[in-house]
Amino acid sequence: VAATLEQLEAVYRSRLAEFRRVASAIVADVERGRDSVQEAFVTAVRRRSSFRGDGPLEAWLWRIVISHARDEARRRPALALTPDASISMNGTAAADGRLAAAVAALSERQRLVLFLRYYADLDYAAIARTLDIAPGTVAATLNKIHAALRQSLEEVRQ
Amino acid sequence: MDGYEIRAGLDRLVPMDPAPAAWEDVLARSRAGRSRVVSRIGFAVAAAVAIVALAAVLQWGGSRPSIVGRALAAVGDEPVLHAVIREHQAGRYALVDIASGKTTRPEQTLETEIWFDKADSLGHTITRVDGTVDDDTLQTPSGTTNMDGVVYTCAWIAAHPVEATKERVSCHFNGDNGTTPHSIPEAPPSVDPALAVFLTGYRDALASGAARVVGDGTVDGTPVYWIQLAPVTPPPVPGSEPPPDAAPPEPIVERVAVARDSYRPLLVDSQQGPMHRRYQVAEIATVGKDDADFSAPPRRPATDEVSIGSVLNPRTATPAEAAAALGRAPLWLGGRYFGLPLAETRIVTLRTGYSRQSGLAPRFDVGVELIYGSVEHGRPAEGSIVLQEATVPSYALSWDTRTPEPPAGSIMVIGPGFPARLKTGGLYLTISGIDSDATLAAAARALVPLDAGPRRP
Repeated sequence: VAATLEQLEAVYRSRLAEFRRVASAIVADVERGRDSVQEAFVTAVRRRSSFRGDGPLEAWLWRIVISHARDEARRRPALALTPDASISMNGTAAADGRLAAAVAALSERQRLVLFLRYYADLDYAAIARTLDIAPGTVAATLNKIHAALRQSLEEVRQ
Repeated sequence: MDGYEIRAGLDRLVPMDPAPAAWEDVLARSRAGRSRVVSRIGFAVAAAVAIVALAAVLQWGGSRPSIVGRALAAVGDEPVLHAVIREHQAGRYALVDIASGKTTRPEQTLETEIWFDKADSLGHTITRVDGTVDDDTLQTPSGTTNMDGVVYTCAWIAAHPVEATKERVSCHFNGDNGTTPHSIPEAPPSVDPALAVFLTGYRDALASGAARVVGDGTVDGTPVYWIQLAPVTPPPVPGSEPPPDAAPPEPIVERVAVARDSYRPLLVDSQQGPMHRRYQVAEIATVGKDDADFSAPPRRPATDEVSIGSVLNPRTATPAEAAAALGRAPLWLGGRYFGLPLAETRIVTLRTGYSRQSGLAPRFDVGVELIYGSVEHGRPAEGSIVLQEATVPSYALSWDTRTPEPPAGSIMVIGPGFPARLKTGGLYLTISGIDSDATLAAAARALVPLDAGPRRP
């Protein structure tokens, strides 16, 4: 069950913002993230015949996007996420800096779970499919992430 | 910190990217076989750089890029060739509409997809009929596999002499494979010789100058240039070389229509002597090794690996016994049809055998036969009409798994020597002994349950 160009385009257009955001978060750069999403879809178009239809097309595409973004991050090590000064509001700059540091301190898998949950709005099952882990692992990982981020923010407030 | 705060903080860390979608860029790059672009530059700049780079590559002698040069650039220069071609052919079967008696022959679309890496001797060919995978073959230096498992080549047999003997295959007339494995190189991957001129030769012909523009025109309304490839005489198929005194084969002459805007091939017109073929090009491009698909073919479902079907153990039965054996009333044509009396109703055993590789035991089903005419030596005599019926599509009654079932209200006719097929009332029927499509349709209309009494033919 090969994916058609029309199906790929439909997912590209409807989920582009989320794909770019997750990729940008992984490579810590909006433009490199944008490029890696383009690269990912070039791969998806070329390899659409290898889509076996044994799961949702979007999950297949998420795996390709993440794979490309991770390759890009490995090729040129990512800078840490940095708060966008233009949109940080009064009083949030310090917290954002701390949050960025806390995110950087997470393991790669924890970061992927976090990005897919918050930037892509994927549910636990979709995250599990994308990262090839159990849904229970997603829930447990998010609990740990919340605890770590909460702690980092509490330290700022104190 | 709650989920809302985390989300708000993360939103500030990675803002939304306002750049517009660039699907056309995806398509262009997927076709061009170039997946890398310079990061940190806008798409417009990247496109401009790409155009300049392309122009630099294609300009020789200070002239503008030629049509052939642009066609070559459209294929790209990555190491793996990927191509998909489609050919429309008359279907293998005809459908007879039962109500009207009208016959149609649905066209079928044959699709061939190849991945070809000459340097690493890898070839992957997937063929589809009307979108359904019909075969999938992977050729590698260590052997060839398809959906039925290992393809027994002499190289494989040499490397696996004991297994080969067990499978009763050999490259020696005496069947002796010995017991000591030894190494013979696998033949390089190849594609259907009839398609090879274009599939594996198009890029080389463009690059070597063995292609020239011979005109322009339109294909389905799209303006095209016609590029003719140098004639190629197909090499003999290994193992079936013609005798020395045979006439040399006709060369294959192919013309390729490339779109005037994208330089992508759309259509191939192939001529070899009197034989003419046309096929559509859905895709031909080169890709990087990482983007190629040299995955192992999936195994065909074991139940599709049918090797033989047999009708066994016929025994004369009353209508009631036939109905009991079938689990429902058989369909019949009345006590007499076209002057032929119902000579015998009998119950038969339908045996379906599977290939050794499937590991499946034979399957046995029950069928019913109604013979109109006469029976000689236990078999329907010449001129008889025979109905065969079962509640399953048994291979023993010519229902194979790779041919679709005829749609409701239709009879499927494969050709002379094959019984016509019909599915109705939960029964899979075959009708033998009627050659005329109109008569077949009339017979199908006359079918009634055996316990419901005859209808006049």
